[in-house]
Amino acid sequence: MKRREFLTKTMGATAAMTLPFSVSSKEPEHKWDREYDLIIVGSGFTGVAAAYSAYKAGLKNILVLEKMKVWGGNSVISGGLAGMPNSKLQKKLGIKDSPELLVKDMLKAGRNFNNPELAYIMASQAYTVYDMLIDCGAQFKDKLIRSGGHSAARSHIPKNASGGGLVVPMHKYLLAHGVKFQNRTKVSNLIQESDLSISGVAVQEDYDFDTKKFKRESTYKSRHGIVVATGGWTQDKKFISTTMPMYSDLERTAHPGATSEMIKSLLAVGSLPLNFDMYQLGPWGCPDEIGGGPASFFAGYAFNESIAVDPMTGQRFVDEHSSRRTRSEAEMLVMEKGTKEKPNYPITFSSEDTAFRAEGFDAAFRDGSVQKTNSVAELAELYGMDVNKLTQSIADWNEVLKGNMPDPFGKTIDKRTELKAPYYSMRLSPKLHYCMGGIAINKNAEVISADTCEPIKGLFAGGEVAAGTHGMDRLGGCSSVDCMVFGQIAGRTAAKYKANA
Amino acid sequence: MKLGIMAAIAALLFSSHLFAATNSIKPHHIEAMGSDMTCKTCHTTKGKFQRPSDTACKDCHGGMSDIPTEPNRFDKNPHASHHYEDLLECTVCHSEHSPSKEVCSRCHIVEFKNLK
Ligand SMILES: Cc1cc2nc3c(=O)[nH]c(=O)nc-3n(C[C@H](O)[C@H](O)[C@H](O)COP(=O)(O)OP(=O)(O)OC[C@H]3O[C@@H](n4cnc5c(N)ncnc54)[C@H](O)[C@@H]3O)c2cc1C
Repeated sequence: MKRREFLTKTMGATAAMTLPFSVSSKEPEHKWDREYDLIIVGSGFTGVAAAYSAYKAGLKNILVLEKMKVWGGNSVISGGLAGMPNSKLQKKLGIKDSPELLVKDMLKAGRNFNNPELAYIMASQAYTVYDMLIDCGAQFKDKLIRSGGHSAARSHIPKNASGGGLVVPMHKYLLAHGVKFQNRTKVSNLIQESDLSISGVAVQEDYDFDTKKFKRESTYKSRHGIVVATGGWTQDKKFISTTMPMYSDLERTAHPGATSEMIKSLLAVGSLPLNFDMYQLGPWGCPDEIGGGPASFFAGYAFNESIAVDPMTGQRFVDEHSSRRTRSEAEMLVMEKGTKEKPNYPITFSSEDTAFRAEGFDAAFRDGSVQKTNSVAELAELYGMDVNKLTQSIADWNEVLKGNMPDPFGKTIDKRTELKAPYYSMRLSPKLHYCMGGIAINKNAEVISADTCEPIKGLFAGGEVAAGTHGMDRLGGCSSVDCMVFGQIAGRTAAKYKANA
Repeated sequence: MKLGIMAAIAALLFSSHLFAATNSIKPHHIEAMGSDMTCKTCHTTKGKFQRPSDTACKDCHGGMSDIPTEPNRFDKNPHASHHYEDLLECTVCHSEHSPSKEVCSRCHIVEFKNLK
């Protein structure tokens, strides 16, 4: 492709005109407003992990850019569950697990759309993420849970049950070690040289996400290339309705800044796109709360230890502990039995024993998304269910728990908690949760060019903006780890990379 | 008459006190500081007006953890959030010239009666 075409493609007409490009590559190509050793775009799991490893590799002048007022994107509002086989905690608790077992689970959930090499790198380096987090002062609960689709208890839970419990300690560690963080700065474009390498970014400073206004436009040079850690775009209605029209009207769990401008910039510089029509739905979504809040956390426990039913039949309809895609698809079919205005929302419920152990339960119960009923009759009444059928479903499940009858859906049971009143219940409706698609990266977190299927020089990425590790669908607790494994790798690869070398 | 209006407009533009009449200062600041409260109290940088840095707030108020927030029935303490702890700038939630808005209310049901 000709240089001129690239400029207009990547910079946009106005930016291209205001930037003084020279013709010969021997002269300096741009006038930069600022220069750094490494610029990382995005301050979530991926961004802080990249900054950590780049710092450890000896880079000094590191800048993390964030377009929002707040830090940490989806990472800090996430549950922070992290599936890390062979972590020190998992070993201490004596749980048998292996990276191979996790990869097997991931390929099954991903229906083999995964890049197995990336999946294996994630699974086998997961324990290093645990060590990094502990090094930065993060704390975990002293227990592990087995999330849906996992064959071992390997989900670590931050002590405060939030991704903030992982990202904030890292952010503070990095600040204390001289890494710079700059918010309200939107990267509007990646700057590409005539040899197609990426040398810096064009930014809008003092950017206000709500009004899209900004004070200045500048260009920053990054001597070690750019790490893109900008996460997903599930809040971008237009992009969703273009790539997956079926999901246009679904509610979404992401932070408002999960929009598509960086994925578009990545495409504009020639990155190879993967699986753009694949999105993950969260089967624990609740129509009575915003996003993926505390009720979703409770639902995870109800799915594990109890059942979900179709209110029209009063009967179960899926293995409540299968992969997210399997569960979400089953829930959508149940919902479609109602009308568009009044969907037939599935219900999940648990006994008090289960509810009281669930993170998020207190808040969900207080906010009213989880409700208490004192008998089967009350529970049936609340959702307009046939009480006899519901009673039968509960009795059958208790027989399964006692081992008197095989589970009709083949569910694996970890904890046998008798299902009895009082019942705590919530409505379910899958929410658009995660972008399976993204740009292709290799094992070094280098972004792959669509033109050559080789790395684009100076361009690194990881986390939700990249695709491949999870294939068609992702297991719970695997994004955080994917982000931090490939974030770390991106930081290390960038530290080794020297422009024009 | 016409000149009078022009002069008033000019005065409005050049006096930081009068400028405050269009960009109002919240009563609790006036109460606490009286006429010592001017634009320059918060806008400490020279030249063009910029969004004040946290230092301007912290010089009087101290840091987030020094400022207790009132307990409320949703037992949320915005100055000790699980998601952000004390990393946010004051101006993320607090505004002087427009109503303040807690960032947590995007997702959570909150009720901070005392939000200033
Ligand atoms: C409610 C919820 C709960 C979840 N729970 C879990 C869980 O328990 N376990 C798990 O593994 N996964 C979970 N996930 C998924 C996981 O949190 C995300 O996939 C992950 O946080 C993505 O991290 P990231 O670093 O790639 O992006 P993010 O954390 O989203 O960070 C990207 C940042 O880049 C910024 N940015 C974007 N574009 C630009 C630009 N042009 N210029 C400057 N900055 C920009 C964004 O504002 C954002 O702050 C959850 C997700 C949600 C929404």
